[in-house]
Amino acid sequence: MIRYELKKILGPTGGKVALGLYAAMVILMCCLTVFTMKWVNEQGEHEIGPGAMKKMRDAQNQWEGDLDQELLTEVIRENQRIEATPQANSEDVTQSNIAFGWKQGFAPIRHLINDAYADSFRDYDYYTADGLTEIDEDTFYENRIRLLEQWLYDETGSAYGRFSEAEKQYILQKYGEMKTPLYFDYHEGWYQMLEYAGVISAYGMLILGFLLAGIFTNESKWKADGVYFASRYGRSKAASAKVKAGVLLVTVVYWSAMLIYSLFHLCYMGFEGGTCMIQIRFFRSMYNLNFIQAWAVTMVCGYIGNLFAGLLVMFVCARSNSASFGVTVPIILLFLPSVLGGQADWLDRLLDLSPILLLEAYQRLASFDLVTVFGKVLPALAVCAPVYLAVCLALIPGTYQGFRRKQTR
Amino acid sequence: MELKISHLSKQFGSNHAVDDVSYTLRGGVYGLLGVNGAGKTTLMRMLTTLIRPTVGSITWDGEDIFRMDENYRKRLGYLPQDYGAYPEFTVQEYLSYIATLKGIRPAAARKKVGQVLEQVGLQKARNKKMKTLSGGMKRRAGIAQAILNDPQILILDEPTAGLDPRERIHFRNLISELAQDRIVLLSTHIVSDVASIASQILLMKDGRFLSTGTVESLIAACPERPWQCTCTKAQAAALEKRYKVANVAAGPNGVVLRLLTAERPAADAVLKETTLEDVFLSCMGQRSGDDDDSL
Repeated sequence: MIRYELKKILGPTGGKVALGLYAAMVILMCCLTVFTMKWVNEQGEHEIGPGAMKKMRDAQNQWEGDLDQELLTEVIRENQRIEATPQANSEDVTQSNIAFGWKQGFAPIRHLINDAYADSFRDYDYYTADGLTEIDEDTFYENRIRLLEQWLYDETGSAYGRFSEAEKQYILQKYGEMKTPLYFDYHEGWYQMLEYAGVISAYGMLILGFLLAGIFTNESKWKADGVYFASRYGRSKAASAKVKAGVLLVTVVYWSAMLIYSLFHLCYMGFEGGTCMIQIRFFRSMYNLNFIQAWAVTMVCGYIGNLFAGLLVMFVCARSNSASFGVTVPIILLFLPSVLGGQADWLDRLLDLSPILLLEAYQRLASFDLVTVFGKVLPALAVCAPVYLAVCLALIPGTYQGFRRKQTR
Repeated sequence: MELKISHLSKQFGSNHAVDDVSYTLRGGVYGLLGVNGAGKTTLMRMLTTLIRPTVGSITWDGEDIFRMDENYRKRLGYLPQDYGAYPEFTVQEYLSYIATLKGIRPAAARKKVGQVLEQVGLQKARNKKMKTLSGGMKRRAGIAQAILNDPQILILDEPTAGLDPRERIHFRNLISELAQDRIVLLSTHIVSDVASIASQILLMKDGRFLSTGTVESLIAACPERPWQCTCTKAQAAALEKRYKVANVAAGPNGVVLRLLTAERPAADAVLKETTLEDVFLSCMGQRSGDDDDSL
């Protein structure tokens, strides 16, 4: 029965076009990687493609190692050396580009230094590292916690009223738990891949919403509901086959897209750096995860988000018998936070927990979304993922029962 | 094998689509005749568990069909009036899918699909997509799916709609063959479709059974008789106002009228043999299907 249900969804032109569109989207996102990864060569010109990517890899590999006193000092010295060159001080764009090109190998470390030596937690000055003549490993890591503490307890700051004392302590504790020194390695494959994984996930939600909207409404659209519901299993096994087909479709489409997207990036840009902590990119993240773990969190959360949206679409369609209502569900889920956001603090906090959180899980690793449950402070992702999964499980019987009791005039 | 309808009513808002109907169906072909809006489809939809009655019950061998759920539906074959199918499925795929819905095992389903395709004459179209079939072929596919599971109760709502005369004859023969050891309830407003094959006729109007019985008993009980007379146009106009007109034809000596009336309508009127169509017209009124069916 599941096979037939899938044929009903994917057989019509609309289904094929939707799936083709999603495949094209994934391919486009993969192609964008090839063309967005730039290398500035010795002549100050931009290069793209596999050659540029190899040069970036070689340049960053030269800086592989623990981000300790020795490596940080070496970065500062090299940065100073480059800053002292005529190219770095030239007002000519090409000359400036040449100087920029020399910094590409250690650019991520330079960004970390900017973060660590910023004036305040929310500040970022691209030239901070250029002003440093020496660096101390201890202050490099301590500053991260010091700036956070200042920000959390600054009575005039934005964080002061936003977090409870328990939440502040939780964030500080997580910061303290980060193992130092961080290890730096070439990690562009993971970084670039994760950066846009949420986009693939969000497109998936829209496309799957369109496909799944028909699963419980096609019978009445095609006037096949009379025969369907009068058949032996029309209100039992066949109804459950619809739910199963929907879940299978979400699972196969989502994981196929994400695995193709992930594998393309990693095969093209390299698997190296998977064990590097995400703090080498998100220095202020409270999540002590490496890139492989961040990838797993992103993929699983994205799946739960898609599954939730898919099941909600099926639930709405089964109850309302309207595919139009169903199709709007993912659109509402995706755009509601941006439409309603900024009206009130309480609403913003509520919208922070909307399913979009699951789709942009990787970006949320850089934020402080916390939830207090029975006095225990937990990251929003750690609460929302199981909660949405539980809602998914609750939607299944609701959808099934709604459809099986349907009466057709 | 007894399908019993007891005080069955179905109300949609203020409209009584079926109004306190009671009847018992046993083996044989039952022809459900009525004008559009008489409640035939609503009654059939209740008999197929598609909608629940507002009042009353339907039992199969003493057990409520809604409680029996799939145990009842496994005995059921149904062709709805507004029948549609999955446009991207081939005829073979469609029937295989319906066989799965009916709980027929795959091996048996393959055999059965081949068999019903032959019965309805769709073997050559088995690989055609449903969306490419003509109206008549689609209807035949509908009949095929209804008989896939050898149902004990076969409910066919306007099965001959869209069929050409040859196909209708073929279909009537098929129903006659199928009528052995099962209940066939056939709704139509084409009287000739059921006149020759139905063992019982149920005449329905305004949600109620006006009259039930064999064709012969209905004819015998009909208070009006068909009279044929030939007259001028002016006389015909006057007669049409007074009597129910079963037929009007142009003859060599004037207008040939077939009138339904208990009395001789004109001195030269000749009494003709009463048909089921005459009974139908007599019961339903001349303008059958209109809101106002008065003469």
